[in-house]
Amino acid sequence: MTWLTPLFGGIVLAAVVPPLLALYFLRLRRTRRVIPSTLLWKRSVEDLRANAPFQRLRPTLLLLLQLLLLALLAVALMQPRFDGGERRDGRTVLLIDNSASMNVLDGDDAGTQSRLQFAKASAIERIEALHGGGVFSGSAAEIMVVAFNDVAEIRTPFTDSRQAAIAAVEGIEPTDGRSVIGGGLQLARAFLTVIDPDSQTGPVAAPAALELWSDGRITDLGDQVLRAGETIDYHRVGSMETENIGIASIAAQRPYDALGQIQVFVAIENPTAARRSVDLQLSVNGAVRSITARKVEIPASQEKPGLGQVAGRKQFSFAPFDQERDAIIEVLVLGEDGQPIDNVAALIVPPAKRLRVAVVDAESFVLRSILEGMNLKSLDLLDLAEYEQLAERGGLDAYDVIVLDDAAVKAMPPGRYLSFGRTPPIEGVTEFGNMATGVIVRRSSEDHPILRYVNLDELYISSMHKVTTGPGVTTLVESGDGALVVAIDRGPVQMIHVTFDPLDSNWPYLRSFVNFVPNAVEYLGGLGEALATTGIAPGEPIVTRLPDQAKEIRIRLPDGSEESVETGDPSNLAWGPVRRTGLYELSWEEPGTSDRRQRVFAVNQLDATERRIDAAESIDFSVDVIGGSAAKAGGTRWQDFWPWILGVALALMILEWWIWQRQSAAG
Amino acid sequence: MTRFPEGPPPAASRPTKIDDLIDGRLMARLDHLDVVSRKIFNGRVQGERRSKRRGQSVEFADFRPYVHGDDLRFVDWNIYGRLDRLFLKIFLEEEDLSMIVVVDASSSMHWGDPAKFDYARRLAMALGYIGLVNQNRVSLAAFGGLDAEGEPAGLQRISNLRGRRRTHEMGRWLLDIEPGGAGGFEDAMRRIALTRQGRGVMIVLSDFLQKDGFERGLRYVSGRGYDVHAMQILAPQEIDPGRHGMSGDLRLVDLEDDDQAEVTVNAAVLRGYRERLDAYCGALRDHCIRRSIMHTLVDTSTDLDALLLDYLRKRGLLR
Repeated sequence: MTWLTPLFGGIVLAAVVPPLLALYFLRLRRTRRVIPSTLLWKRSVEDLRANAPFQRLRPTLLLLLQLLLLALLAVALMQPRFDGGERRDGRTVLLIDNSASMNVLDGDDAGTQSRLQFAKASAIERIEALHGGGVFSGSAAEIMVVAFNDVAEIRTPFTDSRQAAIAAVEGIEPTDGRSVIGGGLQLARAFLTVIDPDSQTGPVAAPAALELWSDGRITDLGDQVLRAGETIDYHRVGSMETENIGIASIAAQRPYDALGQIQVFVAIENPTAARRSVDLQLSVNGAVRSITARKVEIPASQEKPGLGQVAGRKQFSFAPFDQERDAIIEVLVLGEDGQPIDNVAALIVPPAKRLRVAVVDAESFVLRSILEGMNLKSLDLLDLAEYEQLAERGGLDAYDVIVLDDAAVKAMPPGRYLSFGRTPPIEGVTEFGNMATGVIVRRSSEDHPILRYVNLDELYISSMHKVTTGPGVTTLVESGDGALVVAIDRGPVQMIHVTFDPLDSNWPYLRSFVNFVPNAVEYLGGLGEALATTGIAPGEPIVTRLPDQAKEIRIRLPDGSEESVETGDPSNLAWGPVRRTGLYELSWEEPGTSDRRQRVFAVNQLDATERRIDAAESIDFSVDVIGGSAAKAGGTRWQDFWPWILGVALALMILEWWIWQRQSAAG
Repeated sequence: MTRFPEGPPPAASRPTKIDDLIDGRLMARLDHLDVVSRKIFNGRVQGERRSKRRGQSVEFADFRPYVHGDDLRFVDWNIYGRLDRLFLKIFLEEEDLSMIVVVDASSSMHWGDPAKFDYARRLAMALGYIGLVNQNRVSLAAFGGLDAEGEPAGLQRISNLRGRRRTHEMGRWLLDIEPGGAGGFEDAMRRIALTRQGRGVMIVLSDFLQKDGFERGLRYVSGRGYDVHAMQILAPQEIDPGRHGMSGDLRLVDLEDDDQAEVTVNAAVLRGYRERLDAYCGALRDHCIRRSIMHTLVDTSTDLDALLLDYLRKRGLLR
């Protein structure tokens, strides 16, 4: 038991008790009444004696009750409470991990509480322990609460309000995101930096105590360094024994020669030290399509020099099945483990469709021949004037992919482009200097879908446009003179641009060109998209392009709730970031149609760090290794007495009023 | 039910003319009444009732031996001739009744709704009128009032009124009494006793709330030939203050001496007051009984007609 403000209560008690006693001593304020004679009243009323000034104080029940009432109020003002332990002044940052692995139900021994729930309870207990003052105290620790997953969120900046800090912790919601602490540390440091205009040395970061509630499985821990003066306490949450396996990746493909079929690939990882065997279930549009005939054996993780613990991995491909239309593919790892959300992964496969392609200003017969050899729905050859006319009146929407063959186009309306040669008029790619000559490939991103089976070792380019790239532009193939192939993402405009004309190189004579063009067209047209798509990860936004006339846009979340999506530009819609895994169903209305149209997005948690859910004994910053201690919660929590005392005082007041009423009525 | 008065009644509510004291209808009904004395007294003039005084009447009563100073005119010389001793002849005479109505005009009477003093004046007027119409010798006295300058007037009196024609004079005198002084009951009774002229009926109209006691005052007039009636007049607000809205934390101020009493009026206090009042009235009644004084408690809410024509007849004061 401790008293937060004993002096305050004492002062109040000393201030109010003497006046109460004086009220009993002194006369009451009375109404004057003229009567014939006071003879009988003086003889009959004992009260007269009691009202004489400063007569002996007669003990009455009411006085006792009132003194008790005042004493209780004074005790309440002293704020008695159980002492919860350490108190610390100064600034403390509470970092609470609310990533996917914190949803594992091993927060307590009974397995009824998630790690996040347990962490919140423990953090609240810590706040009460840290908080030096009560309601009437002038000194209190300042506490900042930061929740982090893929993104860090300041739940409350530094505050000396215990209630505000507790409310901030209680308001932390679970997510299925990854655990990234860098943002949280940056935010904390930003608030700790003191900018003194008189200082000659610039902003000064005040030292702070960091307290971390996490299972220790943090993706970017190795990139972080504790600064001078910073200390961090790691409150370990969760069991160090909890095991888990999960889906590491999922993909689907429509075979080139059988567009009406889908083949699904999945990789399962086992971060534990024991082999695991599981059954896999494949569902299409919610209906179970197949379950593996035999259990899939997943090897145990292994310690590898220089790499640390490497999870065992098993790739599995389901047999192709007929599915002309679009499909929601779900793969489920049957059986229970610590983390259920990575046991399921979903994928949206668009319907089998043949592409409509336009070639603008076709110069290369090789390019045209390759396109003609593809299984396209249509291939139109446009000259520049036709292209500009269609661009002006919006007619390019009729094509899935537009191929610019060294065409000097002026406008780039929304669409998907494969461009060769001339630098297109699009933000992010800027031509500079003279043409480079005698260029060879230095590096290429071979894992990109459009470079699959594309070997550029023999490529020689006689001249190329030298370009600089800006944000949103990914260089896929690079030479000593700059980018050769770039992927440009401008929302409604998606483009693969090759900075040289194939006719200025030997590429048309290489097999890689024959592979590159279909890869790029299919990738842009969406046919190859599914193969590479692993869905959206928690923490990322859903970005899509809806018709300009789309209205009443709503999104249904995995938990069944529905939200309205407000956007001024449906053609460049972004919503999120998403927090939970599952299927998100975006729907909208279009003029002239009675039915709502819809598009489904799959959000999967496939992060390797989140798959490992056994709580880490210590957390390894790049320099410091911080040992952890099991977080405590549910033990002796600080309990304020004063609300209870006030309740008793209120009851006492009612009792006193009742007694006074009875005495007045009955004498 | 009337509210508890906050002070003396306003001047506008006081009687200003004789009709306010007694109206023609009441006078007509009172014409048939007479004041009854429980004793037979001698009067100053020959009246309409038999007196115990043996004197010049024709009805012989007795002889008694002559003593020095006796009127020689009443010596029975026949007996002297026969017995050689002086005897006086004693006759029973028909004499008038001496009647005195004493009104308490102190401040304590100037309170209540209806006001006690106004009620006492109307009662005195009615009793006096009964005396006048029955050829009794009516005197009125008032004590505790104020004179024209607002100073204590001491004992005021008007004596020896007789006959109906003196009604107006009596009423005017009553109307001119200004209430508002303090006490003086004992002194008034003493002076009345000392200056008494003959014997008769004395009616004292007062609330008898005398801080220095009523006992000595009554003792002056009792046993001295007066058939004394003590009519204790109390306002209903005095008898049951709780029923008339007296409550709360009060500072009670005495009308007569400005004495103050601070009272938190609640049920217990009111009950204690009633017990005290009953005890006080009981003490007055016991005192009266011991001295052959008739005590009558009158509530000013009682209708005056009913009091005169019914209650006082039953009590034997009137017939």
